[in-house]
Amino acid sequence: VLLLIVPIVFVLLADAVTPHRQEALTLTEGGRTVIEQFDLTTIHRGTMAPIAVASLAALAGMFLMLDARSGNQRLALAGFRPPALLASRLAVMALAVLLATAVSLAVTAAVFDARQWPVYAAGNLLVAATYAVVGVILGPVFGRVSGVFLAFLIPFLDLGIGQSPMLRSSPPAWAHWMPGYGGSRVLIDAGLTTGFDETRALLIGLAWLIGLAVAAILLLRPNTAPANRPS
Amino acid sequence: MSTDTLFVRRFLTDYARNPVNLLFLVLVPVVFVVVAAGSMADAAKLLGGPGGPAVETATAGWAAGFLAGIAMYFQTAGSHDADRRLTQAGLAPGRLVTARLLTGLILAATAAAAALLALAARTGIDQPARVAAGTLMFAVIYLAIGALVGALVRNPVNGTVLILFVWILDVFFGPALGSADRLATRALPRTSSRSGWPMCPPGTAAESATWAGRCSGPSARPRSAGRWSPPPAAASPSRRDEADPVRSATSSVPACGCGCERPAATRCCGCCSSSCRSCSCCWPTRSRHTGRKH
Repeated sequence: VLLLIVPIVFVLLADAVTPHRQEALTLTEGGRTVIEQFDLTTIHRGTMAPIAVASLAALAGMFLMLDARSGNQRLALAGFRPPALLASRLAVMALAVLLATAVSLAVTAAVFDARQWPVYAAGNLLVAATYAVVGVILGPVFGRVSGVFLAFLIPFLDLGIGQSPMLRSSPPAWAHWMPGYGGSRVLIDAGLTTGFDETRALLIGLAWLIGLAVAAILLLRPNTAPANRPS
Repeated sequence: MSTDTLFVRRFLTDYARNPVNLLFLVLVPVVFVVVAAGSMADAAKLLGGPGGPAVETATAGWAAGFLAGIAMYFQTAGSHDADRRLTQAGLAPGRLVTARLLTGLILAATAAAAALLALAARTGIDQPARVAAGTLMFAVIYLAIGALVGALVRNPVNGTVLILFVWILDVFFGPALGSADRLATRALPRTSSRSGWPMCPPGTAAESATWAGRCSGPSARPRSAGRWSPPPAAASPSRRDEADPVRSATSSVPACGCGCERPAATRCCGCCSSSCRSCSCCWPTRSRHTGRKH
């Protein structure tokens, strides 16, 4: 229920509290870098949902995998093949991410009119999926408590501070190296411009997602392998 | 060594069993304050809030609060079974709760100290005692939230999301990061008003009454005020007014009690003394200390 309520409240409150004011934003339109003025409310409406969804996805990814550890070991002993086990766990996580993203997009649609809806939705999904996998990695590496600290800190610094179009017209240099860079550039471009010009950012985002997913699978493999299977 | 101290030490040992927990309890607030404080102040200005050093100072409290809440959540939610066994073995529930809360308090104080050190290194602290008290109050409030959520919500996804949810509502939609007197967020918790660098908005009498209890701590009171002063509408002209002919001439308009030295129509904000309609908060009291103009 919280996965549904949190994005709804975030998007609606962001809409309610932002004053109308013009802000300059650096965008790519038709292959050229342009600086355009946008209403702050419009920017905030379009960018609040991914921040909320990313934090939720990181927490969901982390706890879904941590809580599944003992179950995984029992299922592996019972004969489940590791790839099938991993795929089913990742599918559950993907479902949670899809649900939270879909709800946040539905609410966003009520207050924000993206110029390219399918690409905007894909950008949101890319950010959410990336952070869900970040959560999967954080849990086993840092444990529950520190994992939560980081699952909060990384999306906040990345999406809330680094990628935020409200604070700067374009992300600072350090923010280009963060996992949310690709996805957030895609969704900003899709939300505010009529043509898609962020192919490079999309590829960066996908590279992050794939790289993190590979790392997560390598990390989870021992947990799903029947190491001490009785003969 | 008393049993309580022994339990507190054992609970702390349990927390530090994963040394990364201790490291991040210190590291996360430091990174948060160093990286986010300036951006949060900019965001506050954009959203119609006060911005500036007040928000940067509040960042230390936000960081300490979140960490304290999460640490206490796991202290409570992760120890239900052990606590039940301890009480079955004869430990009085009151002593157990005290030990758990003391453990949480030590963790909260650690996070607050780290955040304050980062703040001191980053921007300096004008009024260390007041800011330290405010930051610790943030941590203690979120400690209570963490304990409450931990007692009621055992599923860690739901528990941590709930704490994150409360925290984000408090930070992003509270008075610090936006206009203090907008209708949409008047009902939200206003932790920043406890912080000792008050941002309490002017409000209705009912609002004032609601938040007065939260803000009535000594750290929320401007130092210059010394003691609570009545709402200016009811206040008599001050001695300074009597000595100053210009102020005396305007003393028919009640003076703002917040220290901004403007004769203005005022309303009591219910948090410390009163605030000026033209400055919307008690910030001028602080500006008088620091010499800044608002």
